[in-house]
Amino acid sequence: MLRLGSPSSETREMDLDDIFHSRLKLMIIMAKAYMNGYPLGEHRRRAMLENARHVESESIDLDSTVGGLQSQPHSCVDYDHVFYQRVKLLAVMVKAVAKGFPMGEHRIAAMHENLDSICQTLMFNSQPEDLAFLKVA
Amino acid sequence: MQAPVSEAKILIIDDDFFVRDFFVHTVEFGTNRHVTTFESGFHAWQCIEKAPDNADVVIADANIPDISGMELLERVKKQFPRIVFIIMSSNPAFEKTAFQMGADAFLSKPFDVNDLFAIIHRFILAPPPPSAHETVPF
Repeated sequence: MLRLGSPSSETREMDLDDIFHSRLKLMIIMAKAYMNGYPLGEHRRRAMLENARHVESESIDLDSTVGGLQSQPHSCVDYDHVFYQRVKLLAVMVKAVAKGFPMGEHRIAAMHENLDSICQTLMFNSQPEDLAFLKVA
Repeated sequence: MQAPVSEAKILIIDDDFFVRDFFVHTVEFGTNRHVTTFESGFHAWQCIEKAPDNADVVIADANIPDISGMELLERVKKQFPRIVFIIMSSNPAFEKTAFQMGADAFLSKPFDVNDLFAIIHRFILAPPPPSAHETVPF
């Protein structure tokens, strides 16, 4: 029997943060698959569309919704705000791909840059405490 | 170039909408295949018993209403041993029981996209050869 998932000592029910992080990771994989020219079928397109909708709706910009964050250093709040806007932009881009909208040279380049920026941010914030800004409602 | 299409018929059973929906989108993206879902073990069992050919891979949470995932595993492996059955749970105590009942995989929560891709790769896109208990003659 194959065993996958968390180690026995870390098992727990999945909360909305777990789902959001996993969906964001899935969306990045979906975008990279498209950028690498992987084929898209009917079900793949639908999965991309639905996943992007979830990520877009669940990525809450804490800067504008939680007053407590105003006490943080201003640059940190701006940084989080930009990250969330980039995530939402990627969701819009993935939805456009899934709907079959035309993707020109500049749109592809913009998607590439946005994807790289999000991936770099996630890599730089790989510690759990540094990912706290990814909290969802 | 055509998208790869797996012929496997996949059932996902979990009463947690958020987990189930995430699972469905990952598997549908990974396989480019429709996935059938159920909220309860009873409805899943009704579907499997009525048309066992419509289920090749069953992925069920251990704690689902009416008929638990473990009971569903026992029924499926007893009557339709060719069906791949994967149990997921947030309780590690189910792991040993799942193994004894013939589960093909145990998915411990919380899981990651990579774990689901591993399941897709191992059991859906490249199904394992028939296991020993399928070939025992009586």
